[in-house]
Amino acid sequence: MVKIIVLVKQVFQTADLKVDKASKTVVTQGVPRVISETDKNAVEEAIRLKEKHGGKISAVTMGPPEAKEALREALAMGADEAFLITDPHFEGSDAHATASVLAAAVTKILEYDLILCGAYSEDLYAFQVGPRLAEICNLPQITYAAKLTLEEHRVVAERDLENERQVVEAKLPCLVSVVREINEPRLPTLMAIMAASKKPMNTWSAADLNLEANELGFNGSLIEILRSAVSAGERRRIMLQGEPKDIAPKIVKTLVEEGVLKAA
Amino acid sequence: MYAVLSGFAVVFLYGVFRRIRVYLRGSSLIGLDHIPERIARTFKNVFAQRKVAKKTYPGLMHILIYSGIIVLFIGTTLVMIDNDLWLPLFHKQILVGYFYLTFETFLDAFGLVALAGLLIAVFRRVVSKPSNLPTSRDDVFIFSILIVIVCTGYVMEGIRLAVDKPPWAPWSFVGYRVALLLDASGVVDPSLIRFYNGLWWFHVLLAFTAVASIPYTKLFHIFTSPFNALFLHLRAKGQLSTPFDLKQVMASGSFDVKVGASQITDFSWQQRLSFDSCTRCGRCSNACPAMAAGTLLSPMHLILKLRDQMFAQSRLDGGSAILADIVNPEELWACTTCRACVNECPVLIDHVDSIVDMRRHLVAEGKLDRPKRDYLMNLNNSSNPYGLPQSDRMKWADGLGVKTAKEQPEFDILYWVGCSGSYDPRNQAVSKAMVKILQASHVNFVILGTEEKCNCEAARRIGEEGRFQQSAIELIELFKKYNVKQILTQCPHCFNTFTNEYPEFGATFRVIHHSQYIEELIKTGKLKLKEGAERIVTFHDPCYLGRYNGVFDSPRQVVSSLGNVKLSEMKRSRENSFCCGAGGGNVWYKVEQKKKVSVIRFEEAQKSQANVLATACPFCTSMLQDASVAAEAKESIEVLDIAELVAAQV
Repeated sequence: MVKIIVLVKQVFQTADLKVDKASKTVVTQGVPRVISETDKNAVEEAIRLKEKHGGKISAVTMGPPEAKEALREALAMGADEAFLITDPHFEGSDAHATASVLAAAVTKILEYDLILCGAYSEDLYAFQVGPRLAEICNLPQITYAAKLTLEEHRVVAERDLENERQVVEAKLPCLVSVVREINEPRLPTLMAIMAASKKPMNTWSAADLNLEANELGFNGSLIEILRSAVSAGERRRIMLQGEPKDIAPKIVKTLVEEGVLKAA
Repeated sequence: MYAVLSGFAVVFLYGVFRRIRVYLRGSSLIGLDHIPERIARTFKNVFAQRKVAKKTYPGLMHILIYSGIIVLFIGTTLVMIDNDLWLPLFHKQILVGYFYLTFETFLDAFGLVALAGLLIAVFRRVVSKPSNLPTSRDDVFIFSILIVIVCTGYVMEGIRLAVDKPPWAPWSFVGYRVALLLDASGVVDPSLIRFYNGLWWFHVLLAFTAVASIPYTKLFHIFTSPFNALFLHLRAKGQLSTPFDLKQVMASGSFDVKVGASQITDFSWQQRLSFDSCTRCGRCSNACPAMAAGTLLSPMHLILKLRDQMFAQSRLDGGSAILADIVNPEELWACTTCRACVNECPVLIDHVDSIVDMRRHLVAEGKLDRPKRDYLMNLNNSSNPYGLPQSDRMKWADGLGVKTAKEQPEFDILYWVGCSGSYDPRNQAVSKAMVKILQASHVNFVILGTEEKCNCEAARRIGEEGRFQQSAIELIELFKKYNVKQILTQCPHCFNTFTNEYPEFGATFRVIHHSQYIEELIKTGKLKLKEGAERIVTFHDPCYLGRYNGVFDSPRQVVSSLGNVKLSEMKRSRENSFCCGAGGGNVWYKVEQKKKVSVIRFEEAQKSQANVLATACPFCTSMLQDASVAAEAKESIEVLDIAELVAAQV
């Protein structure tokens, strides 16, 4: 029996995001919201561990009320209960403020052996929340897990460090952040998503977690965003036509002219 | 004799009972509706052998055996009734005078008919050996016993005629010749009667054995096929079964519906009856594109595996035999739902229905590979299979002056562009051609623009029923909001789903495929075409337009009206058309194939000597276009949608 907390984040479907050229802001209206991909891997891994060892999975998210959909999907995949941590005061939270709120939530759930989360979120790619949460809760942590096995009182993980793999272990309770390579998340059917509406969904506000206003949102954040800019990377769209043997030298010539290649 | 007969009857009845018990295991009988239609179907396909006769040589074989044995059976039964029932009861006989003589000639002739059929059957299995025709103990047994029964019948008749020498003997023209032979060989003497009696018992016992063996061999199709024809669903060809009604499920709030088939008892009893109807004729597998491409799927073997599992499970006494033990998911995913197998099957097995049932279970389990998962996720998140932004759906129409239903609420026809017509560059060209045709014909049409969403046709065929129904509910609402009376579509898959599947969910609009609509525009003179170049065109029938919906002539009419065009048919066309390999969701994931289905089809097109391969389906266009690139054809064939051919001459 293993008690697992899975952290999920709802993000905008990044492929659908566009930038308003005039205001240089990201247009989010009408863009679908989904569970961040590596968080799905975390949910899947939790389900696989439960299938093997038995236990209970609690899915937790901090976000706007719409984030309930992400939790519902996690429940549809196989989580047993869900906690939506939402409060208008959370707006503007950076990784530190978010980790603090999650730490309060995780502490309130109390019983857990393992916290699983994605190594990063698909919108900000900051790689911050998991490690900060482990620090605040004073837990051992393993990041970038590409393989995970649960043994008595400990986990063994293979960390994917791009050009090498590192095998590490940690005592339970601990936090493990996972990368996409760890598994193929299952896709719940629409019926399963609907059936998941019968599973327990808890909503907690800042007050439920006994958090003070000065710890939250902008006030609780260490990072302040001064301005955002659009990096405009227009493609050159050069089209060369003809037989391959004629085009090849032209490609080389063009690349030299563009400064991509250096002429010998 | 009758005591012996009753023994055989008990064996026969037990065999029948044993099989019926297996069909009915774990499910209740379905009620019968539309009885006249069902009876008509049974007559057409079983008694009139319509589908059997589709293949000349094996068809002839079957009809000879079928009619020969039936006539002999009825004839012998008549003799039995005449001698053992009519005579003792009424003290006279029916089979007398010229009626009897004609009866004798008739029976002798049909003995030859049966024998001819049996010899063809033996020849096929021993000499010509067509593919996918496994010969089992059943076949050896059936052919031997029937041949011996017919031959001993003739010998007995010969002995009777040789001993009695009645003046009418030549009427039994075969038996008479046997009698002449016996006479000539000098074996006719009174002791022959003893031999005759022995032979008579031998003949009778063999005949009883043959009948009693029916429920233990593939001969049981004699009973299963008419009942299968009677009980098979009456849905349209293009309408899949509906395992649950999403609206009802949402209203009731109980979502724990078991969807799909994971074990044999999850199929309906009629499906199980159909598995047992299979006669291993191999026609389905010979027509199957997945089989031709060298995938794991062979529809016949799949059905036979299901049947074997069904009987294996019956011995497990309540245990649940899991289909996963015998069916590899890759077999199921290789099916393009092209319906060639169903079209071929002489005993009306619906392979596609059962394959989709098993896929539904795989989807419910959620363990799909990444391409299938991505496909379904894209539908969830982006309302199109490509995962492209919904806001880009109308980009193809930039500068064409096309209005949306929102902008222009008064319109005659809604042009449903479809996902591939909206996002796939190859098929955007077809959409533009359609717009050109519609504008030139002054049709008052609109599109839905960014309000159009995938109708999830392929999702349904992959097995995600809930997603399909949710989208159907939403789209029908949208169509009602804009008071849509007519929908025009260039995609046969959308066409089929709107036509055959939407009425169940409350749709009432008329659906028209662009091949039909363009034909109409040309016929009524609304669309005038310029002179075109001289070409040889071959038309590839899309499965969901032709085989599913019977639209064969409209696209050919459109091609003919281009002028200067010679239509050259491929070897397999119309009802027998060969799939492009994209259907049933196959276009969205990869199936391990030895030779691509699309390449097989493209090579067939090359043999037609055509310089244009015309299609009327976005997926066929994409698949065959890709195949033409892969084939590196020296004599290039242009792959074009009929709308593009027409638009070029507007």
